[in-house]
Amino acid sequence: MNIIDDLVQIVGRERASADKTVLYAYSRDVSLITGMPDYVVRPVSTEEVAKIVSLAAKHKIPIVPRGVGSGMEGGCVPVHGGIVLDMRNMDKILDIDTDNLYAEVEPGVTHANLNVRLAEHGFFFAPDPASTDFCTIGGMIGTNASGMTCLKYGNTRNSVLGLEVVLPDGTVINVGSKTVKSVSGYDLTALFVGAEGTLGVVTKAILKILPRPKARATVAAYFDEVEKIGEAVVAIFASGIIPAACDILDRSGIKAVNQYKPEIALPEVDALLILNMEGSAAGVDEEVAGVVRCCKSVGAVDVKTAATKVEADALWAGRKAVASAIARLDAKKAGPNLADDYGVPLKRIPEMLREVRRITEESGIQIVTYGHVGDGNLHTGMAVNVLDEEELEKAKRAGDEILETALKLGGTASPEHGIGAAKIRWLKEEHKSSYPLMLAIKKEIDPQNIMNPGKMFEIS
Amino acid sequence: MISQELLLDITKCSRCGKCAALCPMFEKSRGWDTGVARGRILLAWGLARGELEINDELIKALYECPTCMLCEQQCTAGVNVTKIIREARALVVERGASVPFSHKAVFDTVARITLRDGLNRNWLDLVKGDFRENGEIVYFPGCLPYVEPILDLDLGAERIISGAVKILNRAGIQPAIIKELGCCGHDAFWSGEYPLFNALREKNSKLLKGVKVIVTSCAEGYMTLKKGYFLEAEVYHISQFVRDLIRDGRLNLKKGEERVTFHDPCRLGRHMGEYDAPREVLSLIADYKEMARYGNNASCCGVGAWMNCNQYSKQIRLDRVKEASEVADTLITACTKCLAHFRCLITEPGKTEDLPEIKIVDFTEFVSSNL
Repeated sequence: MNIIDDLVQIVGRERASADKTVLYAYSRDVSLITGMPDYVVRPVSTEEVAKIVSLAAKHKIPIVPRGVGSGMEGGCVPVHGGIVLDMRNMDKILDIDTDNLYAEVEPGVTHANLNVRLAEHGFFFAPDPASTDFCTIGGMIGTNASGMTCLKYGNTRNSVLGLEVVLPDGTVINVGSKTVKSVSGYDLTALFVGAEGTLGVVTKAILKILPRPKARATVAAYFDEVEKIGEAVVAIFASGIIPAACDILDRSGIKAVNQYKPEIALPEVDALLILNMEGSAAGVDEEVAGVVRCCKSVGAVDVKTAATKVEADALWAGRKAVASAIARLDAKKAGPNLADDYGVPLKRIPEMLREVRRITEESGIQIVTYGHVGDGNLHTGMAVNVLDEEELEKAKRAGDEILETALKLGGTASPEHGIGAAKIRWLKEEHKSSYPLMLAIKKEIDPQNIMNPGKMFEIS
Repeated sequence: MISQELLLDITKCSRCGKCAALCPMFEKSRGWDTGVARGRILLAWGLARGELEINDELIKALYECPTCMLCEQQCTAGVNVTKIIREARALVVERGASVPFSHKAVFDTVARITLRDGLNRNWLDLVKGDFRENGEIVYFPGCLPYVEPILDLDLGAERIISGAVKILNRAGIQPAIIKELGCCGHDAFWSGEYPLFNALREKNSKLLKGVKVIVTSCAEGYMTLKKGYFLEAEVYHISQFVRDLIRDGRLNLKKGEERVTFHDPCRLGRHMGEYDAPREVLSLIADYKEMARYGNNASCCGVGAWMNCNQYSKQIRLDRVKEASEVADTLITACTKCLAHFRCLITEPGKTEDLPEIKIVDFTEFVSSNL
């Protein structure tokens, strides 16, 4: 069965393709997961999306929504073929209402573009992924992304007030509201955020926006033992301070950043903690002093407050670049995405970091640790020759061991990157008792299993 | 054949999508992911691994990229984007596909013609000034004298070549213009036609034996001779040579009042790292202004190697000319392709209504008129 003519009928010849070359370009995301779509379509309206989904429902063809494809778990990879919806052409910012603290957008708008527009009004959308320059709001909603600043402001779910969603039968519904608070009925908005396109296609979003903080300071604390960073985080919270951002970069990460941008010139210590404090000028000053005290009290070798915005931006640019910069550590190695994202309760951070160090030594794989340590959310990057199957297998085993350890310590296998196709096993293990309910919800909303099949669940 | 080294290069691409936010062509096309570096690199992988066959979309995707290097320069993973794309093109050529040259592939034909011995180069008769047939200091005009009559555009070939001679004469140098020198092979190299490039390099290298210094007014020629050849000679872009002559006190220029700006050709800037020399010279002879995007962040002119002139590249060049017109009355560049592309915009029939009034002038011509 070939439905390309029907798709062309809906969106026109320019925006529907079944060409093998075009399809191949949609067969991957950042993960190692692969899958060829049968069709790719670039819709520009809710109406088009609804028609495409109805067509897919009629023929029981999978629908795979995709933003920029910067996901790290195979969430937008069509592992069972079907129609990939490249949502980037739906990128309008429909409304910015600062009086009512919301912005209404289409899903293809990039995070950075939205914040540039909001900045003109003195506002911002708080979740802050490292991929800000290119990731789309739709992708962020799909994975419930967060990033640097969710410690203070929460993740994407905490910043979405309402959604327009195309359900698996092509019906268009609205969930949530434009009010800052609403408890009327089940929180379906929260259900669709983080559903990774397995329940429907998000075509519009009402996002909570906030006034930009009046002051911000960036502190860099350097440690000679990575585990001390965990102690520093606990000490900072114990002192009553909630930083806006609190991220870690270990020795290998520092090296990768220095190779990417030598001008940042981070000291090559065992680990670096970068913190942002935001709020009123007086409050920020007070918190900076507190944070410096806490870091020193657990043995930081040096603590510096960025003197200028340029200096602060450089530190964060380095931190944001580390995931991809891992590929610079060795000419023969890439930075495949393995066990990239896990979380542990804050007090277990030192233990987790010790375990990662052990796994690194035992596996012989160069493992980089970075991430939002203030949330207990750590990332792993690995420098691996992916053409060397033996080495790649070893890296995969190390990744599995890291995730097993995180779960053993009472943590999570996905604090912010989602489940996709890469972590289905871990979703089951983490949520043994509630997994059947999740599956039941999926089956109720998408009985034909056409919405992004093979993600979160593998339904036979 | 794609080498193991290149496959490793390809695996370094994490497909993060940063290039999608940077690519000037994709900004205009808003099309498939085949239209960004990440997509093209994935296609190169598919091609190399035998998972993809050559078809029109593949050729379009690989050849639409102007290889302007904006994405590569900012790629966090350090992926050699332009090299991978070039090698994938070579693979396409090796497997028998035709390169989608613009202008009915006439420039590819010209490059092949310049391989012939004993070709009569009439254009040399038009060049004014004191030059010789052979010598240790060679001025290389590149393919400019062939391009101008074919395009039927006033690029100022005679003024540029005579201007270069005039500049060098003023500094007491009698350059050689070796009339047998052919096309440098830039386009052959970047289109993946390696056998043609190798033949051109071999012929030209023989003719350049014993030469100590080569000065060229073409950014592509500069890049190709300096990076793609194995010459004993020092290769200079004329902006570098002029800057050095001024610094050494061997050349004096007149200061003018004209408001000018410089468009960094990607081959001179991002590919070769030279941003300062043209600015240093232009600041001495004009009221120099900088565009919003300049240096390593400069916009592409829209084309590379006569291959991808399309509706999007035309929008890119229009944006660039408008950007220049916001700060200057004259847009100066130093690459035959950029010059042809910009001048084509302001002279072609049915030109855009909102085209600003601005002069497009080559660097060498501008400098020579301020001696």
